[in-house]
Amino acid sequence: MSEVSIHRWPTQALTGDLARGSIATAVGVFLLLAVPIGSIAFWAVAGLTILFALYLMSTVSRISSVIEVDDEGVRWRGGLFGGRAIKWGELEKFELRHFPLSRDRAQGWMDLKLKGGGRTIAIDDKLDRFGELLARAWVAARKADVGISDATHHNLMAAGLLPKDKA
Amino acid sequence: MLRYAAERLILMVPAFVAIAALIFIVIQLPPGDFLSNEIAELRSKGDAAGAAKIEFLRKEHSLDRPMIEQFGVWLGVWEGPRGYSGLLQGDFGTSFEFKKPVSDVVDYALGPTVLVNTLAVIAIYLIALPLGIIAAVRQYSLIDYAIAAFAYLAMATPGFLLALVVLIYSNVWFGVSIGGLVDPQYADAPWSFEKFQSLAAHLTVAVVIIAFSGVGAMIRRLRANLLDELGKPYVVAARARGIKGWRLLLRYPVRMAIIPFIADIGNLLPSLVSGSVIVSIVLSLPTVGPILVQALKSQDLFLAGFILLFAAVLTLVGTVISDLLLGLIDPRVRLGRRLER
Repeated sequence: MSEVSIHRWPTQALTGDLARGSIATAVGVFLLLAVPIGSIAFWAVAGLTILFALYLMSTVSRISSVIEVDDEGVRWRGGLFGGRAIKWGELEKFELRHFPLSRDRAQGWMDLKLKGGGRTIAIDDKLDRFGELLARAWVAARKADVGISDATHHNLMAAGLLPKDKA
Repeated sequence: MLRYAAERLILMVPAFVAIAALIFIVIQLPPGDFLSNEIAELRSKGDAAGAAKIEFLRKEHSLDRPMIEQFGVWLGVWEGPRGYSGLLQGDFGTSFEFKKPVSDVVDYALGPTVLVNTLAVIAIYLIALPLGIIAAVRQYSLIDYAIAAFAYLAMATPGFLLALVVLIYSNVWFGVSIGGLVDPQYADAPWSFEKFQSLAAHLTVAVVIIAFSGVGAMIRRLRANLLDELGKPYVVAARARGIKGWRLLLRYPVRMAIIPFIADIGNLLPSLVSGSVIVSIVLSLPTVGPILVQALKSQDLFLAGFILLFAAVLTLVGTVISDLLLGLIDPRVRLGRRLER
């Protein structure tokens, strides 16, 4: 039996997301009460409020989730949307995307998306010891001979898991 | 992606409130307002009844209240004389200058504005993309120099100047007036094939004039971006693998070279509504631009505020769209950023 590595999202790291999600959802609900029902503004605000509420739920879900990684695979336990697991042997897709919050791409976050056996697990870099998990998943992806995109290749170089291109 | 969209849109809310407040403050900055000026004029003529009526209008539009309350009433989050009735409720206020609701004034001009500017943007892309690509592929050839000369000429020619020149010479040489969107005899006439022909002719001239100044900068930027991409190792590797010509060019380098233009969508959307103001004035185009200038000159608070806010909202929406597209098309981190936590 291999050693299980346990990762959580530190509440402190998600406080900003939680505050933004709560305020945005509250403002959305307030605006919904202010605009006439059935107007274009109503449907626009309703759409935004649903999006903000989903964002808030996803943040709460991450706070209450635990990610377990071992030689067998990766498992998502807890959270609002139920647990799921992917065995390394079943891994079909390995995608590392960067979502920029500034135009120079210095701010933002990384998202690791793993797919296999009809299940998807997406983990962002606010998770504690994300680098360890990423390295382990990358080793598994190479073993499973999973193809990667140019962007994932570039981001793996930035993460130090691939040698930098000599341009 | 959902989380990313939510994060970007959440940032839009405080930005919208800040922009709305700024617009409201800036428009109010000059002393007095449209109605105060009217009252002063009527009093100087001795028309006390008219002045009393306008005083009533000031109260009716909450212009006698402190600025923060006026702003709240305008947005629709503060109770005004007609209850909660502001931008959020779809009540954009009344234009004092045109003496009708702002929505009626803008409705009339919005269609032609979006039509003219959308066609201008399409024309810019249709002209600049192929010319930029040809200039980069045929670097330092005669055609590259010819395109560069055209691009510099386009960049150096102000749109309003070109409009004036075309306006004068089309009249002097051909006896044709290119002002407006249709010939004067069709202005109030019902739609017919002749009116459509007149619209197409006037529209073509207006679109070419507006697009001309935008084409030059885009050609130069695209050429520079594409030359950068063509020098990268992946292009050499693709050539070594036998991928040649347009297939090689369009598959990666052109795709990468146009990424910076996606970031321009934030500026593109508001220009569809409020762009080409001076050209529109010169060519007498019935667009939003001249109405905005008139509203600002006469301190028509609600009309100017609504047009500026609408353009600002389009800027915000455009920025979010470009950010989402960039996140989708190019999800790469800047090399050197620390990832380990």
